[in-house]
Amino acid sequence: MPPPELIDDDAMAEILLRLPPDDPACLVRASLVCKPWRRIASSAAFLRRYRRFHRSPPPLAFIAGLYFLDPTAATSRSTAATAASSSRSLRPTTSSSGTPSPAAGTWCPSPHRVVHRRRASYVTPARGTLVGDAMYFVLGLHNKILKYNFAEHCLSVIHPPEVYDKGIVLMVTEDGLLGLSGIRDFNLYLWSREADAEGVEWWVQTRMIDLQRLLPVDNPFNPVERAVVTGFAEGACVIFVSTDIGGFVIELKTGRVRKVAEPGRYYPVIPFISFCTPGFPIDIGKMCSGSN
Amino acid sequence: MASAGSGDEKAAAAAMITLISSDNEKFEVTEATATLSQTIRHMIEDGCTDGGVPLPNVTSKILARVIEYCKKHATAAAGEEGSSSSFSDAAFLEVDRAFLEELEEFDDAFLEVDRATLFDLILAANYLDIKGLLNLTCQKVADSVKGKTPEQIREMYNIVNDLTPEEEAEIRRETQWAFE
Repeated sequence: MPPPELIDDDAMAEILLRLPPDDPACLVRASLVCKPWRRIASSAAFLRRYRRFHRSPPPLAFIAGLYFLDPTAATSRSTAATAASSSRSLRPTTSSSGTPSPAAGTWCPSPHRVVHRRRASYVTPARGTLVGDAMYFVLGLHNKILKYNFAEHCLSVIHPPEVYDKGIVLMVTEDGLLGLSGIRDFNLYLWSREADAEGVEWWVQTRMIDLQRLLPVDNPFNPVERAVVTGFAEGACVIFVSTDIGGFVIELKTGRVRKVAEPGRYYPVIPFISFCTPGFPIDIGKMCSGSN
Repeated sequence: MASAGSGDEKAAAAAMITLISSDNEKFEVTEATATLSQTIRHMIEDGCTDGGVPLPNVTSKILARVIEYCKKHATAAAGEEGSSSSFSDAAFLEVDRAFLEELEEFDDAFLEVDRATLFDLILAANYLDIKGLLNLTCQKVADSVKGKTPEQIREMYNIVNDLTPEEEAEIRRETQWAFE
């Protein structure tokens, strides 16, 4: 029989290193096998090695709909979501009507609710994308892109390469350029903002992914009707797609797809990216219940 | 194979290295095969391989398997260098693909060993610093552990649980999410 006691710590660490960082439970369970395994897996040296070995940390959890405040009231999100969607049609004078009573969970009338109205262009409440000297935000109304160049201290607007009715998500490409993704006709399009030596910029389509083939659609005659790209995990090259059959994570490098959420409106989706080893645990349970 | 990729005439076909296992068996291998091991590569660079390289941590049985792996993969590395330098047309890609498939089949067959041998191979690969072999063998064990509970892993690898029930209960309580 295999003699685990004959495996030295270094070789054992080599085995544990290869447990997948996007499924941290594997490492936690392995660390409960015996004391030596636990000692190796929960050491700071192992975490350093694990980081080096896997390079880019995976998204471990997703925080959705952050702009609805009050992290303390677990039930407030759905209330807030309903209130906010109806607040789109409200006039500014009735802006306080979306606020539930303090007893139902306190959430303040946030500035986002003001910019959430369809009155004018607004910056969508997603995280900005930092590329070079500029920060990019999506302007919600026509999915234009607001560029703030903080070196030159100036604002400009960039048009997306094509119209994506259901919205776009900005990202950083593997080459460190501004990237954009959007879904049309159930295809996920990826673009990259290239520039020549003179600084003239243009969009280049880098990929098209057929979601109908990628996602686990049971009935081809009853295709998924709604698919929206709602988030991007920088570094991990992972895209979050919200559909009426659930929320999915697509790894752009490998094409691997994981279902991570039940059907629902998840926007914006902000990934929580980290390595998690037994010695340095992150309370994923808490994270997940917070994001559901 | 020997001259592929190398412009140095001195490093040609004849460079042979003798590896000596813990049970004193001698294995003659080409330098290209031996240098898949970073440990041996450094020894060659330091010029301390005259009279053979003693490997007191590796038995002849395991060393034979390790050499089998290195021979196959050294050929692959030489083939890759040769083909990528001047050709990239479809025919060559086809050959490359066929070769990679063959290599994959070789690796799969190579892993068909009992667990004790697998662990010995891991130790040897780690000691000799053979990246590909270490990756192959460790990944095999990691994959076998992936979806299993601690109890299943212990049973599979004959491991005695030396955690006290209290310790185990506490860890489980802290990391309940990993057992759901």
